[in-house]
Amino acid sequence: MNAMARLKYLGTETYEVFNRNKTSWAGLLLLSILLLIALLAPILAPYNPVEQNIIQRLQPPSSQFLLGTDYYGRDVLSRIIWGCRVSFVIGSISVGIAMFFGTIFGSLAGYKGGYLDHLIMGIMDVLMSIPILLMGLLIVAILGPSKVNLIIALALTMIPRFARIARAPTIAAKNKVYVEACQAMGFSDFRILVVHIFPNILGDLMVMGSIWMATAVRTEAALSFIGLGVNPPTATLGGMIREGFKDILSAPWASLFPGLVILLIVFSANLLGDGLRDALDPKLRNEN
Amino acid sequence: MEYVLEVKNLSTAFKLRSGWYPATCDISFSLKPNETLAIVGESGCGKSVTAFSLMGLLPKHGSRIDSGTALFKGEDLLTMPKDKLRKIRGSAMTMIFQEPMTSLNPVLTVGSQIAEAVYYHRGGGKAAAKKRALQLMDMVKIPAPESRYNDYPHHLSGGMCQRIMIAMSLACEPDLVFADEPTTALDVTIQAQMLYLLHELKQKQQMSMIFITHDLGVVAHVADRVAVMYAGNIVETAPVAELFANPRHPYTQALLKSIPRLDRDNRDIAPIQGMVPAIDKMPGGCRFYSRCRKQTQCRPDEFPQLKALKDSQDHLDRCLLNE
Repeated sequence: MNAMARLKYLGTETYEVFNRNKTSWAGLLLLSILLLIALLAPILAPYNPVEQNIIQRLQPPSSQFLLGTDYYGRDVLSRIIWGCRVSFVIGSISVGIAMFFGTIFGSLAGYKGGYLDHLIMGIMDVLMSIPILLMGLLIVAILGPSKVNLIIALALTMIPRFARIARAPTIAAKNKVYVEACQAMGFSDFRILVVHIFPNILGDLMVMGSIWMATAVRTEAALSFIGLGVNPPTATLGGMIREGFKDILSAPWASLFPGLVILLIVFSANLLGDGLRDALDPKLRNEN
Repeated sequence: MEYVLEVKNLSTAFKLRSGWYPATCDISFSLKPNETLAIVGESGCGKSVTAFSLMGLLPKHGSRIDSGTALFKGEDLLTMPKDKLRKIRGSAMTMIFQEPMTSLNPVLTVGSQIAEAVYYHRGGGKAAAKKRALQLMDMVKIPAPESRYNDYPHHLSGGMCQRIMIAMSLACEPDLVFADEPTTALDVTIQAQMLYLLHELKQKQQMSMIFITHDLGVVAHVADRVAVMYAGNIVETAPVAELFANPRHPYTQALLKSIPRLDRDNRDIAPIQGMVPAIDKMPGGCRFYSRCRKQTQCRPDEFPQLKALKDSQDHLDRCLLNE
């Protein structure tokens, strides 16, 4: 009952602020549609995404192939639908992993301070100094291109970002009187961190999560574009752009449409992130 | 056991850029069961530092306890293992903070925060903890506890939040409560309610209290004994009536003179001249010397000890002139 009431309260308040901003609704709507499409790929896709059909290659969009076909005669729409699925799976899993470890490292560093803080954040800074794409390249080049390696690469590049995001509000919360009051109540550090500080930094993490989700999707596409992503013939958005690139002047649909879908995913995730930030930030809440 | 808490020669130092400096030194006092000791003094005189030292809540970096013992029910708080001290903290020994609005976690309901204190120290299931929390909310006179239980701190007023804090700190029936200026952030009518409530709860629960404040009016209200602190020392300690009637230390005398009162001609109000010496520029002798109006009769280089007065064993002061 207590937990339910709390959720309901936090829910309504967050919902109210979220609701004030129409663009965040647009982001949520768009992202949900794309997610739904990815989820229902086996039902929605009109053709097998990997089946080649040389006779029908590079067909322009028509009633038979809504978004045309690519160099190997595969239906672009079907490949986009399946490609979305790959993007979302890789994006959300890598963000999830990064958020989990990043939060642990960051809040531990922030709460404990001292040498542990220097050690953890030093390692994070080193990781962060390597550009995301370069790090992705490095890991995929070492471990070889596959879905799992791509997720590892993306997660590794995002962990320091989440560590930073978790550390700053942890330090801010640590110096609040209520944490001191918790210590005066004799609660253990673990309990203070998990029960009292974590709910206070969750908002920041959610915002970063949705914004980095967009970056993860983008990076995955970029790596696939240079041929270091998921192996062909699996349909990925970045891979489709690459394959269609050589015919871009004669058959622009093969790379243009997957590019547009990447744009849509990134755009909607960013809109959602901004809306969430406004809704979860207590300072903005009080102003309204 | 005669005393709940017996502190002897407690000294706490802080690290500044140029080295370690004592923030409090040679603090000694004792507390009987069900007694309220008020520690008074101006900002920065070491009242809170004393409480935080005893609770083991000093910041880990940049502070240390140099010497002293603090026997709490026969065990030394200053040398016991951290885990043991942590278990005592929040159950047998608790603290009420100055700012009720910021002392509660803004994202958790007030009821669950009380229940957590019960559950954490007493165990016995969440349902039992909730029941006890409601009972405590009723005890601190929060109207309709059932409906307030799921409120967040920002739904409540400062006075209500302070009642919640009091309920939390009394959750496990402590033997000793530190009240660190619990009424300073509240307006005067709420202050009076809070003092009355604390007094009533103290009678009911049989606990000792250390009441830290700079408000002598509050002291007169709540305390059994008073310890006056100045620049990290206790300069005078006596039963409350005795201290107000017969202040012996020049600082206490000056302090009492500087308060406007309704029942007295206020034309002779005399502020204390000068400033408290900075922590890194403490004189070796009497710390009040430079501001003392009996300066001319005194010796600046000798450090006075806290001693019982000749005519009263219960009244101690730290002044060379009264020796």
